[in-house]
Amino acid sequence: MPLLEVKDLKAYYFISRGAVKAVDNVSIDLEKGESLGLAGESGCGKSTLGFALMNMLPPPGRVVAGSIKIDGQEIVGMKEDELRKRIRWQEIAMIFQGAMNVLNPVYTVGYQVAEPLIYHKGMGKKEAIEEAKKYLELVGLDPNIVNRYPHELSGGMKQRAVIATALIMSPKVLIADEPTTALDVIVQAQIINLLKELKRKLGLSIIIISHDLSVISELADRLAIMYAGKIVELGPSDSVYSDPVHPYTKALLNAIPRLRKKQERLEFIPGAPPNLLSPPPGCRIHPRCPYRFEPCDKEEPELVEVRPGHFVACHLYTRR
Amino acid sequence: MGIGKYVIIRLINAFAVLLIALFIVSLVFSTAAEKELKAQIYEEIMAQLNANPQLQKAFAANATAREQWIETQKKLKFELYGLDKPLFERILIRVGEQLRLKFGKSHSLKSRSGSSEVKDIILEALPRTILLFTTGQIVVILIGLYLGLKAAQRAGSMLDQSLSIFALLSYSLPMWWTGMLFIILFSFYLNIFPSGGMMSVPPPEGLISKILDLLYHLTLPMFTYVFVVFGGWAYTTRNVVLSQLQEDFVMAARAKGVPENKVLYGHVLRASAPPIVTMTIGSLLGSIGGAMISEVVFNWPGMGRLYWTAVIQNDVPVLLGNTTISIILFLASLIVMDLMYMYLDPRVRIGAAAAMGE
Amino acid sequence: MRWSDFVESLKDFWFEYKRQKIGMLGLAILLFFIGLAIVGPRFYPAEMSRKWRDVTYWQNYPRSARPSWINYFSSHKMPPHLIIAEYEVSERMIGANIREYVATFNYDHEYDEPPSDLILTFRRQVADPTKPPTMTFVLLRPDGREIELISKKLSEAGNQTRIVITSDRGALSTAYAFGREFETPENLEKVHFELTNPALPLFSKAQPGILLGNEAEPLKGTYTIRVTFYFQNPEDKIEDLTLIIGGRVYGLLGTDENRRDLFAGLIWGTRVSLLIGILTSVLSVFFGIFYGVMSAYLGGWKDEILQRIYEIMSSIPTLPILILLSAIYKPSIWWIIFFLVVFGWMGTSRMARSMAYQIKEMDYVEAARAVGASGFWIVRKHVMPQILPYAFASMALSVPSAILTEAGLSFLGLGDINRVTWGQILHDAQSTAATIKGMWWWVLPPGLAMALLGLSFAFIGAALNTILFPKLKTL
Repeated sequence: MPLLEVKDLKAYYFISRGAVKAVDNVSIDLEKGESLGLAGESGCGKSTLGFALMNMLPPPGRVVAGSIKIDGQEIVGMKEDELRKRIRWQEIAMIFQGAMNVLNPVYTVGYQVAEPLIYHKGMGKKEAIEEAKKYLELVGLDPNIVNRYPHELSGGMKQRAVIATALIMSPKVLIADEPTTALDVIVQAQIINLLKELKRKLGLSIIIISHDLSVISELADRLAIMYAGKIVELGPSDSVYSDPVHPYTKALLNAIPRLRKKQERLEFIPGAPPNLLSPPPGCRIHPRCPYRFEPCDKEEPELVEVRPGHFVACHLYTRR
Repeated sequence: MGIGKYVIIRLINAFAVLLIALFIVSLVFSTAAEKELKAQIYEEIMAQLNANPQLQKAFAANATAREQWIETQKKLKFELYGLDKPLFERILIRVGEQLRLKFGKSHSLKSRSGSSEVKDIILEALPRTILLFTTGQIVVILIGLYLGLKAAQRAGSMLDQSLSIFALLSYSLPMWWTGMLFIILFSFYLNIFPSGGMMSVPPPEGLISKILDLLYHLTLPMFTYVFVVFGGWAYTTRNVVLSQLQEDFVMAARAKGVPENKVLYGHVLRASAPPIVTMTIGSLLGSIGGAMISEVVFNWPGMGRLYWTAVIQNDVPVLLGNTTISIILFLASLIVMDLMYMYLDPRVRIGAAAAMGE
Repeated sequence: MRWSDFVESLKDFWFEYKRQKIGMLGLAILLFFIGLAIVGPRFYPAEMSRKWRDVTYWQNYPRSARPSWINYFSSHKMPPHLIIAEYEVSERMIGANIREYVATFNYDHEYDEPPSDLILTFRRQVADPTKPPTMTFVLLRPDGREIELISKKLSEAGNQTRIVITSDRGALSTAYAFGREFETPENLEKVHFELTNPALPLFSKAQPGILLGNEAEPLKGTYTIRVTFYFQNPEDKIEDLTLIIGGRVYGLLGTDENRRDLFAGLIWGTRVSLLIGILTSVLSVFFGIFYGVMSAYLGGWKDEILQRIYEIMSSIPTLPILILLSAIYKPSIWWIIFFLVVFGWMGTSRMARSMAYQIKEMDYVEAARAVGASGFWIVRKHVMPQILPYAFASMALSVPSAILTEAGLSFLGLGDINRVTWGQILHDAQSTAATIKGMWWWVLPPGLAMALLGLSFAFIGAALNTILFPKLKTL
């Protein structure tokens, strides 16, 4: 049994003009000690999926259907109070996007890292902060910064503190939502190395969400590509990265420069992601897809296995 | 250490402003009120002359001697009041006197202890103003924060909308006029509150009944203050809190398992405090003026009422002293606000200390 | 900018503005006040404003009358103010050289309260001052009772005579004596002779309670007032004889204790408030922009100095200094506006400075400077057009505080003494303790007008802000 099992998950935002189908029928799972990358353009629903896994979509967002099981325990439909007390941060924690604002400017870093201990384990403030020091050290920070305020820390230090916060309850599953966005390139590399090291040392089971495929390729064992609320390709990292199957993945990979591979020219993907209020019928990429053919605008493609463990949702592979 | 330095620099700054304000005040006094003083001196001398038959007899035949005598008397008196010195020096002397709270004597007013020293009169009125104003302000802060938080939490709800409309409506309400209306309503028609004053006449016996009597008289003016001011506070709080609620750290705190009321009253309120303080400094200082004028309406014998009486009696020393004390009071509240802001916002607290430490 | 472009952008702006409900409401209120300030003076001459403090100007108005319209909302009807100049005359000779001249007035009293005043005014031509005429004033009640209230020799100097029957001591004791006859001994103990309003027994039913304000029943019907003059000289005569029955209701807003028509005061006060509010905000905003842009444009140590001055100015408390200045200099309205501007430009200047700094750093401005544009040109072409829209919003938003500050000064008795302002009306109300007497019609309208006018500008400012800064939309 996988550690995290997501089945047919639908998460919509309900606004006055209708429902934005940000996550539509997504199924993934995560084994213990595994890391899964979730990539896609901005607005494809990958962050929504991340929040849905914590079951804390900001209103007007809501999980409409499907199931999320952590270690066999269903969390969809669980009461908010129970989620807060038993699931979040204990079972599943999150490294938030945008380290700049995740830390409250008027509290010390130590307090904010230690906060989960205070509310989940009922520790005293002092004791909790002592514990937090260990985790700060673990992420490569000087433990004495517990008394500092966020504005005294650099972006990279803040991101490390955020990672320490996520680790402090030793959650079974960790979600890293854009862990390196808004950081300098060098700091990005440092954070990636830190996550790699933590993964190795602690055996983390982790879902990394990023629009940056190079970040994911460094960290993920498996890779899922999302487009307009759906997973279009899912497979072992190497397999997807070196030999993508889906036309969208191909285009996406061509849009980033590479060092080791010969590349004709950088490509961009024409058009823009669809409006998720009323996504196009059939395959959602078809208006932008150069290979579209007869069934694409009518039937939705299912995920099919093209190579061992490598799935793709494209009529090019289901119909041939 | 660094913070101490920052506070000292802030104090020096305020002192400089105080000096400049007092300079303006003294300039006004020296150019206008001294005319009055000179006329008064002349009258005094003539009265002295008329009251002294010996002198009159001596001057009966000799008009020049009389003139001379008047001139010397004038000179003496001018020296006494420092009117013989050049204008600039007079102004400086006056600034010094104001700083040492030497305001002179009132023409027409007396303190309860019977002193006509302007300083005594003002120091008697000051605590009354502070009592009315601070209690009112504390109530405003409590109500404003509570309603503002609730409205931000349920943005767009009935509460939120009515609060916004009320804030806009009370924005242009003159506080003292509202007080007059409340007297008509609550005192004349409903007869549940006294129409003014600070104590019943005669005051009741015993400390406890005295305090209760004071509170009874305090209620209506305080209610007026709260009624006019709280809407603006609540609305500002609502806007600040609403913007803080959308910050990532709120979401992060919720995710970490912080209970909702701790998120609201801890994370959000703590982070909202500095901008709330900044945004309400202006409104607070604006409402001091309104509050002082309201004292007249409620016959509350504080600084504002003192202004009214001094204006009616044309009592310049009292006017001058009252202005000086008001300025000091104003600057002191500015400093308190500043320090409060510094205490609340670590970015300023530590930033300032670091900047000073270099 | 060409004229046609300007008209075009104005049209665009109006199209946007029309959609702001609050802004339209504010504009409607403002137009109402402007209309009041323009149309009002046609019916209420400027004299009323100039002679606001002249007691004799208002002496023929009723004292402390409520607004007329309250009669529509109450079954307890109040008498209106009547000035009766129509009367019947009969003349005859008594003896050889005394001529009796009788003027008879009729007054229909259908109200639940007695009139507040009985005033007789006339001009007399007396040929020989040593032989003055005598006069009697007789009231004939509907129940047939006849009371002679006044009987006196008209021997004062001057020929303009004004007799306030209701404050005449003789008339007062006559009226009291009349009421006494019908009163029970218990009631009489409750009555204070001095406090009796003589009109009460005169216009009440002849029964117990006649002297008690809350028990007396009004005697309705036609009263006849007979004024008789006895002339000793054939040339003597009376002109412009007028009987004033003082109302308890008057005009749209009633009158104050000094008999002044409060609606006239409101109208003339509107002009002052509009003038002060608009002029102060326009001047202080323009000065603030000038100061802020200068500061940003000059930069360096000049900016530094200007900023220090700005800081000092914004931490000086305005009201105490304004009170002192007004108390000592007794300024006219223009000086008050000047003072308000001196202490009111800081907010705008801060905004203008930071905006000008931002614009100054823009690439296109750098480019313009690189090709040799002068500083003035840049300010005119790039800085001003961007700042001006915000200036209008902050003008609108600064009007209420200017109006309120002036009103506060006037309330303390420190306004321009040659004009009537809303604050002064309230000052007079406060000095005569109108609140404790429950005279809401005196207190309510000026403050309400102040609040509404302030509100209209706040609404307009809020609407402008919504158009200019759509992200800040809150209401």
